[in-house]
Amino acid sequence: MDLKEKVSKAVDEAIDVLNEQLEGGQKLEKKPETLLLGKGGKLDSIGFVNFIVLLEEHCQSECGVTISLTDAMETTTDDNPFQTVRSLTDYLYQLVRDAVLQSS
Amino acid sequence: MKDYRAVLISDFTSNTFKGYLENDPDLPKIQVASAPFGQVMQTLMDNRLECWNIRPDLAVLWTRPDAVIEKFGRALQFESVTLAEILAEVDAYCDVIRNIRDRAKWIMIPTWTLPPYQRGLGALDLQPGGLAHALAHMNLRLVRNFESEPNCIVLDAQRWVARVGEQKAFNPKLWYLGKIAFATDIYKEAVRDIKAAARGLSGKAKKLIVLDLDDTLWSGIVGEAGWEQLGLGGHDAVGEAFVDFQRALKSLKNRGILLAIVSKNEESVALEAIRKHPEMVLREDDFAGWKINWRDKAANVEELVAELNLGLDSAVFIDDNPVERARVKDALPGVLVPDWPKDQLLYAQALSSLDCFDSGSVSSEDRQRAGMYQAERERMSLRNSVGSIDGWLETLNTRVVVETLNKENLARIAQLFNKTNQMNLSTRRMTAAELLDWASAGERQIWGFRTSDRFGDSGLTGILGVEAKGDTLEIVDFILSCRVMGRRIEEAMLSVSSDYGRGRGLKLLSARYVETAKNKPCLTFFERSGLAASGGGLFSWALAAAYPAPAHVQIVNEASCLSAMN
Repeated sequence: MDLKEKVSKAVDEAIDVLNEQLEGGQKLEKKPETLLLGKGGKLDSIGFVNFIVLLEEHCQSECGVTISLTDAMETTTDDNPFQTVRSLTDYLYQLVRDAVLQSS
Repeated sequence: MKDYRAVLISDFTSNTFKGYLENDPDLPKIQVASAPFGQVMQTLMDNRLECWNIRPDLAVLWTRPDAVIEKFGRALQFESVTLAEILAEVDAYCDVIRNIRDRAKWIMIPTWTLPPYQRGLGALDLQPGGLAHALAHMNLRLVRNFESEPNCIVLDAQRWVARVGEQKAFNPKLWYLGKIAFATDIYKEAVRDIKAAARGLSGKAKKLIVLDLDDTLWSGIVGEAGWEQLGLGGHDAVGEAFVDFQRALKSLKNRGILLAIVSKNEESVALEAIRKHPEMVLREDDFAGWKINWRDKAANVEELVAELNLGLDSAVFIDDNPVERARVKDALPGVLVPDWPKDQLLYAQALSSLDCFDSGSVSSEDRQRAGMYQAERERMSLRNSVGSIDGWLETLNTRVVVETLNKENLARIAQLFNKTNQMNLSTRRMTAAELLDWASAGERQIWGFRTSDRFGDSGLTGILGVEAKGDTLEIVDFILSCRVMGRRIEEAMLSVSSDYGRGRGLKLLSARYVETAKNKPCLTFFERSGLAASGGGLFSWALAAAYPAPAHVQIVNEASCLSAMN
């Protein structure tokens, strides 16, 4: 499995765990276009916090590197990486790739 | 099992916990209302808050120790504070918790925990002055405060942390970002224990374990190898593991869980092993029954459970063979068939990890239950040798002792009240505290009936709840354990209520049958009892004449209100 696939797997696993605690209508679909935050986004503030931490944990588990998403949480521009599952996966891949390069 | 309503009260964000509690598929299903965030004391002291409007079955009060015990917060900073001061504040907190005792059937209070990375004095933290030392005393004080309050249940949250591990129990990011005190896996453990506790307290804990024999209770095939060659005990890892597995089963039996056998074997060969193998922990007397033959196991399990007068949903089936497990699981969906480890060294752990036997208490009847089934086998053996029912009953020398609800029999009466389905007139369900309240109000009585005969003591097996209304004595609760059904104890109970009503100068004895899926035997009894049926489930007896006491049952009235009538 290459690094991008591992990151995708980590995102899917985090969504699975998060969905266990969400009500039926709030559950996230594991599709690239699923809206996370912003207009039409499914996550409330507590769901978002839980999701952030789960993503960090599952990236650690799948990819063997520690990343932090807390800085990106404050982004208010249109480049917010948490808008969709696709934008999130792309952003995570960058972070994980940089972390892997730094550690090698 | 009915759906439950719960109120969550905590000093931290409870959304995650609420989500897990509502989404968990195991019974009971729970609908949750959360108290306002960070308003623990206000919620405990004000019953007008919206969260109480759902009239909850459960209230879960889960707090961080420094959030509600200010002195402990100072101790965390190693400020000067004594253990006595901390414990005085714990006592005051418990007094506030008592405000909500009547607002829910059960109050569940997880013990206080600290993240393991909070080392305090480190390796010496259990010394006086250490954080672990203070926390241990605080939690013990919590337990001691509620030991005699049957509806306040302290849950061991430290066990959740131990099961999950430090890395998965706490994440400081969750706290700083969202005031979420625990990581997700802790909430899952909490939900598991809360639901197991709710099932146990409602009388829904499993009552019977049906066991295979070969490679389940011992290593090897007894029909092939002979009992002398079975792997059991000795200086052998697998043999020792099987002995420990049998010990774990025996400990459940000592708590009142019945053991039974369904095995494909020659019965004589299997029983010889049970009787003769020197390392067997479980002997014939430990089993309430068995079906050892070559028939389909699902059919055997179904018959065995019926013979023991239990429902399939009371039973757990353990078998090393996944094919047999799948067969029973498919054929009998009510029976719990846990996944079973392939590695025989893990059997005792797998058994001890099951939460389906969780219960609120162990009574003396629980401890004697297996012996009661053995006595029942002897009764049935006598029954088969005597021609008529009356002839058989005459030989039993049955004695029934009637006693008023009191603090000694309260736990057993509450247990029987809530788990009996078949001989149950109205199938009311009440906690111990609610029973006491009901019996103390108005013209009401609750009596327990203890049954014994020449084969042994069956314990407290019957309950009558009556209420005088005008000229009528109404039987509200008529409950009898299936173990003693059909031995005229039912008639003895009607006779006692008739005597009481006549002694009070009342004119009519009445009982209203409320139908459920399981209590048809109760209707059948009342239809044959001699009471007049007037439709709508109502039965009555004119108290101008006494209801005849059964000839072969000696009734001893130890209830003061009844003795005064004699």
